[in-house]
Parts: sequence; structure tokens; C-alpha cells
Amino acid sequence: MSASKLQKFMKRAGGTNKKTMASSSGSSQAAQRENVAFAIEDVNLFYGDFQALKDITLDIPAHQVTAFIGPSGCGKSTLLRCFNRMNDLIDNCRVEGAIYRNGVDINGDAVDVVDLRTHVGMVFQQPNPFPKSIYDNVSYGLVCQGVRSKKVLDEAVESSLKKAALWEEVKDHLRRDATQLSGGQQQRLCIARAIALQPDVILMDEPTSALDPIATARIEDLITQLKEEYTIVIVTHSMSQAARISDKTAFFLLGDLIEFGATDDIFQNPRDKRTEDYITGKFG
Amino acid sequence: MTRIRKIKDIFMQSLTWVASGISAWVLVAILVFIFSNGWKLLDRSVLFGDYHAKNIVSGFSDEHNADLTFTPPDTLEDGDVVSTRFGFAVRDEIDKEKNHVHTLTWVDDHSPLLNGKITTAGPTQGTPAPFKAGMNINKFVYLDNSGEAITVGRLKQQSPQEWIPLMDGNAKQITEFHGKEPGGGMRGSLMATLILIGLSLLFSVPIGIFAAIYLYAIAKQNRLTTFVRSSIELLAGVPSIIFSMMGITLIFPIIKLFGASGQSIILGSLTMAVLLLPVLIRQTEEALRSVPSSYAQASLALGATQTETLFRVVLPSARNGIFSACLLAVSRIIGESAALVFTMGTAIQDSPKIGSSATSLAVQIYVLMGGENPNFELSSAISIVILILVLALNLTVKVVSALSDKKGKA
Ligand SMILES: Nc1ncnc2c1ncn2[C@@H]1O[C@H](COP(=O)(O)OP(=O)(O)OP(=O)(O)O)[C@@H](O)[C@H]1O
Ligand SMILES: [Mg+2]
Repeated sequence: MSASKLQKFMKRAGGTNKKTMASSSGSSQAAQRENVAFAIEDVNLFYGDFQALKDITLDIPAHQVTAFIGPSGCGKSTLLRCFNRMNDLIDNCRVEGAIYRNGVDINGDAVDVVDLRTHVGMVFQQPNPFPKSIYDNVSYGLVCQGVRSKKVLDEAVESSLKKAALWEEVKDHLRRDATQLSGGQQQRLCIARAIALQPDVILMDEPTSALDPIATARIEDLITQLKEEYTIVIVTHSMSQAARISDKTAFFLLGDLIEFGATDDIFQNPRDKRTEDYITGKFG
Repeated sequence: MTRIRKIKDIFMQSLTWVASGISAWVLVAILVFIFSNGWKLLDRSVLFGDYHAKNIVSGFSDEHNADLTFTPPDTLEDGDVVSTRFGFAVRDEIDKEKNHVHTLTWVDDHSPLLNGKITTAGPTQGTPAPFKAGMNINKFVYLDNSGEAITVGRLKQQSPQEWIPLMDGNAKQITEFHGKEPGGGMRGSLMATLILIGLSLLFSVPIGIFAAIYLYAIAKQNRLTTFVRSSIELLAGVPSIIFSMMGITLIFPIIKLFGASGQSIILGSLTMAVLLLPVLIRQTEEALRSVPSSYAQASLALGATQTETLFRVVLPSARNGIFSACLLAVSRIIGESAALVFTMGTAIQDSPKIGSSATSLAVQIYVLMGGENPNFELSSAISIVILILVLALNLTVKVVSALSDKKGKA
């Protein structure tokens, strides 16, 4: 039998544990600029025969909030999953083109996907804490990396929960089962869990769509605070949310990137007719 | 038209009533039969006693002070015949193996019966053999005033009402006691069953879990995997007597290399392990599949490897399901007989050893019912134990799955 999924993972995980960030020959000018978190160049993505992303080229700015908007099925989540290679888990998914991070194509053979994911965190649409204690949830990533010192873990848990604005609510019962928290608290816990690894980037796929308006407002506040330290890419279906919290907005339609620019420009003077139609609610 | 429909309706309805009535009646009848036959027998000596009776012959050297008289306790019942001279009481009864016996029901703390020493030649000769309540008396030999040795007891066809006054009145000194520690207990089979459970799980659970993990996480969706899967399905339906044959023909030659001589608990355990594997694999895989994929995704997105994800997140989340699968496996082991009669043997042992033949509770029933005089009473008592164990296991499974359901919803 040919190489199994697990073996494939192990190879990637074991092969290059240290950050091998040797600049690859194909890296472009844009990729090496300081303030670019991801430089996406001519990315085409296929699920089997179906092309979900078509010739996407765009730079995700560092330490800013970039919003992906567009009607359902246009490929926002698909592109987001390219940044931490979660698409690897989908059997028939194939990516062409390059995505540079610090000058290295993250799809290259030298890149350790496990390492990549510790630098590029992800928060999902449905809050998905593990059925473990709050403490174990937050420390999970570090424990997987082999951190055993209780002092280090305690500190990481506290500072991550503080950054995720959850510390005050849970500091007295860190041993409680995380699944007993409210939906909004769970989502902040998931953010804390990602922060604990001290990533550069946090990817968020509709992080507030399962939450009520108050919990949503708290997460939005949190995102605005977090952009000081982290690059944030957020997929959202709420135009107002994109307008409120993002610095840059990308509008997708049927796998094409239609328009990308400063959020204010996109919302006030969209260059493309289709963008205008979408943000004014004419379709979608 | 409506009339016909009505008749049809009534007919079908009464059919369901009759069917459910019959099945309920049969189940109740079985339970009533088992409990009425076995319940009165079920006591400490049946649960924890030896199966094989032990004959004891002991002697007394010291002369008993004739002036001493003992007073029996108030707890004695009708039919207990008391020897005030020697401080014991005996009743005539039928034992678990349906023989007439004279059973000691009371022995005073100062009775000379406690001073007996084994006289049979052998390594145990001379060791103290105190006669306690529960033992059977076959005969006594005593010396009367003229120094003549007299034999009394059940072996002389005397009832306790006859021989006890005789001995009390004439004995100067008891010289010999022929007794029997009664058998008919299930302790040996109970122990063998526990060993069997332990060993079978030891072999099958790790293999089952890893095979399930392989099928769940590693195996590719191809022909080979489909073949493996359908083989497992098929094996789960194979009658256990066939596993028994397989145990002899395939497993025995292997363990023979390690010095096993024949039917043994270890051979039975390995056979049971193979028999349990298909079900264990299937249920474990099901438990793994029921873990939300969002857990695995979250773990991978946090930079955990596939292996870490499996062992730190997926497996712990599936543990209730896996635990239930193991409990069901245990109840299968308790109830199994066909797979064990050839592999573990049918020799009831009081102190079972891994390397030699022994019977599980279910096989002990098979043996007891298979002889010329089927022992319904003892078999029913064992059945009650089996039923209680299996019921407890099933209840635990229910509780566990109810708990994990509750947790899943929260
Ligand atoms: N695992 C998959 N296999 C095959 N096709 C997929 C898969 N995941 C997504 N697709 C397809 O790719 C396209 C883009 O999907 P994607 O989930 O990225 O859309 P989206 O923009 O995130 O939509 P939504 O706003 O509804 O979440 C869709 O047409 C979808 O059907
Ligand atoms: Mg999506």
C-alpha cells in the first residue's frame, strides 16, 4: 500500500523541525517586504475537477485586519485554509501557485506543516473547544510542542486568557470543562488557545456567526485589540462587521478575486460593479 | 370492505399480542425456574467454596474430660442434634450434590473436635484439622469404658438421633473422625472466569483499539480496506464453536512452542481474544467516528501532529464508547461456552492455573448438566451469578452512554 495519510504527516512533521526558511528561488519582491504576512501569487485550487480558486494574487498585510467577503461558495474559507494548509486534510484537494510567508512558499517541500500551524493559528466558525478543562484547552498546543514546565504553562494560560479577554470570567475555575462555557466564552477560549502558541497570524472563519450580538461585539473588540500584535484574516458574511473591524477587504465571487483594497475604499467607492451590488445587498 | 378491514385489523393486533405474550411468558418462566432452583442454594459456601469435596481423617490423642458439658447456642434449629458431651451439633440433610450427609451446624469453641490432627499419610499428616460448622461427618471412632473401639455415624446407617446419644453416653475418648469438607462451590470457576476475562481483554483490547485506529485514521479508502472491513463484519457473525476449532488447530501449535501442553486457560483466552476482536474493532471504530471532526481539526490547526491528535483528543473523547465495548466484551466472555469447551477444557478446578485446564462459570454449567445426573440446582445457582454479572455490566454500559450523551449535549 502506498504512503498513508499519517505517514505523510509524520514525514512532514519530522523532516524539518527547525524553521527552514531558506529563501526559495521563486520568491518575489512582494514576498520579502516587511509588512506582508502572506504574498499569494497565482493560486489555483481544485477539489477534484472543480476549481474553487482562480488565479488569486494578493498580499495580506501584516498587523492589520484583512476581511474576506463574498457570497456563499465563492471560496473564502478555501483560501483561508490555504494559509495554514488545512486543505491538506481534504483528500482530493490540489493547490497550484505559491503562497509566500517570510519569503518561503508554504506549499514547498521544505516547509514543516506542523510548524507552520503553530505560527498561523485558526479560529473556526463553530466554537470547538476540546472536551477538556479550560486550562488543558489553552495549554494544548504548547503541551504538544513538548512544554512540560508547569510554570511556563501557567503563565501562558494566564496571559493568553487575558489577551482573549476571558481571564476575569474563568480564572477561578480553570479546571472546569470547557464545553460548559457559553458560546461566546467558548469562542474567546478558542482564540486564547490559538494565541497561546504566540502565532504571527490568526485566521478566523466567520468567528461570530454562531454568536449573539453581545458576544459578537466582544469578539470584535478583541479583534481590534489583537491586531496590534497579530495579523488577522477574517471571513465574514456581515458587511457591517467587515466595515467596522477590517483595514483591508477582499471581495470574492465564484472563485475569483474581484476587488481588493482598503476597507473604506471598497465600501465607499467600489471600483467594480459586482462589488457594489454585493455590498449594497443586491445579491448574495 | 370496512368489515374486512376491521377483521384484518383485529387479527393483526391479536397476533402482536400473542407474540409478545409468548416471549414475555418464556422469559419469565426461565427466570422463575432458575431462581426457584438456585436461589436457596446460593450462599457463601457455593460462591466461595471448593467444587471438589475433600475427605479428612483425623485423630485425637488427648482424653476428654468427662465432667465437662457444653450448652448449645439458641440459634440451633429443629433437626439439629446436639452432643452436650463433645460440644457440637449435627443435622441430617441433602447436600448440593444430592447426597445424604450429616452436617456439623455448631462446634463449641472448647470442643475437642477442634483439636484433631490429620492422620492420613502424606505431607499434611500431623497438621491441625479443626472441624468447623459446615463440614460433613461420615463416622466417628471412639473408645468405650472397656477400651473397645466403636464406630458410629452415617456410614453405619445411623441417624444423628441414634449415634449422638450413643457416643455421648459411652465414649471415653474419640480416636478418629472421618469427615468431608463439602464441595459443590463455584469459587474455582469464578476465579478461572476472572483470569479468562483479564487475559482475553489483555490480548484483544490493545489490538482491537489499534486496528480500529488504523481503519479510522490511516487506512486509505481502497479495495483492501473494504476487504478488511467486510472480513471483520463476517468474522463477527461466525459461530463461536468454529473459533473453538480454530483455537485448537491454529493457536495451540503456536503456544505449544512456548511450552503449553494442551487445553488451558491461556489457550481459551487467546481464542476468546480472537473471537472478541471483530466486535471490539467495529465498536471502537464507531466510537472514534462519533467524535466530532471539529475536535481533530482544532487540534491539527494548533500544530499537533496526526498522532498527537489521535491520542490526545480523538481517543480520549471516544473513551466512553471504547469502555462500553470492553464491558460488552466482558459479558460475552462470561456467557461464552462453545468457544471454551475444546480450548479451555471441561475439568472443574478449585485452584485454576493459567497453564492448565479449567472451567469458566458457563462451562461449569455445561459440565454439571452434561453428566448422568444433571445438577439443576447448582447450575441454576451459577446461572443466577452469571445473570447478575451480565445485568450489572449492561446497566453500567447504559449509565456510561447516558452520561456521555448528557455531556455531548451540554
Ligand atoms: N471538501 C470539499 N470538496 C469539494 N468541494 C468543496 C469542498 N469544500 C468546498 N468545496 C467547494 O468549493 C467552493 C468554495 O467553498 P468555500 O467553503 O471556500 O466557500 P465559502 O466562500 O467559504 O462559502 P461560505 O460563505 O458558505 O462559507 C464551493 O463551491 C464548495 O462547494
Ligand atoms: Mg466558508
